[in-house]
Amino acid sequence: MSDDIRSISNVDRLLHEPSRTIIVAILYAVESADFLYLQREAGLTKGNLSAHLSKLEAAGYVKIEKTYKGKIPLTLCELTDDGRKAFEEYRKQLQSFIETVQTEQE
Amino acid sequence: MTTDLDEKQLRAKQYWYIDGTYEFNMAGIFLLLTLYFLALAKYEGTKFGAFLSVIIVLVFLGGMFGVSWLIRQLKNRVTFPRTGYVAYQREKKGKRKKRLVWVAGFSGTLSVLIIMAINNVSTPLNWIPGMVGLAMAIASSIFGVRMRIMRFYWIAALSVVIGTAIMFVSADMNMGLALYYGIMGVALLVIGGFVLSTYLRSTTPPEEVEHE
Repeated sequence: MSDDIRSISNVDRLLHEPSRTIIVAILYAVESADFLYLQREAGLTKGNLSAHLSKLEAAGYVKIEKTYKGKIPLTLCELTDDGRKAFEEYRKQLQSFIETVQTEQE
Repeated sequence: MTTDLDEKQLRAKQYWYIDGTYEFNMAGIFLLLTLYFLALAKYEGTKFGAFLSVIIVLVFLGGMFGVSWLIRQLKNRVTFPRTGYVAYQREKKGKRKKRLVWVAGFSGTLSVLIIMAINNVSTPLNWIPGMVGLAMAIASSIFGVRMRIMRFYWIAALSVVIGTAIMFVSADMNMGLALYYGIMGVALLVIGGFVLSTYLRSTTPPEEVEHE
């Protein structure tokens, strides 16, 4: 097994979980998104999304702000600079892993 | 996996166009331009006509600002409570400057063409609606490719057809442009209305809920 393939074990474990990867991927494409949007797009229950966001917030990857738009509560989520860097790094590692596997198969 | 992520990110970008408000935005600007060119056709050769030809950039920018404000209100009241709120990243300064130069160049060229027409240049300018239709079609197609939204290709095709038809029907440039913007404005309103009604039927109104 090459070092490149072994490097997959070094990926950010916090991001290497499908639901969290999707949440971070969505937030990476925008400036901020609210809880309702993330819930719909990630296909998660409120409880699950809350739990994942709490973990990402604790790691300093996501900033959460609770506010109101009129009478409707708005939970705004935004990727921090650390979160952006971590996601970029994670994608790079994933990409390089896929390329290595493909090369070795050929 | 990475393709799935790309797809999710693309969907986040497409979200702004989910409710047809973009078409309403464009329709608002086009209908404003219709009024402008109708007035220009009516007052051609007068001092007021010359004044109108100078203020086209202001009409365009003012219209964009006003219509964008209305669209934001609609999104705040209809879209965001139903399917969520998304804010998009602002363009970097360099990119914004580039876009501003483009818009200024485009508006400037358009103004020069209009002034030429007002001064009764011997060359007939009835081909301009066709050119505007083509330019709009190219912009709409590029947008469709970038956002991967099918209906922008239809808008592009419609723009070419309307622009070309008017080019052969109308001899007067101002009236031709008024016709082009008018028909396109109404068409965009219809397309936007259809997209909005589809969106409203596929989503549910918000309930008053506590913070998550």
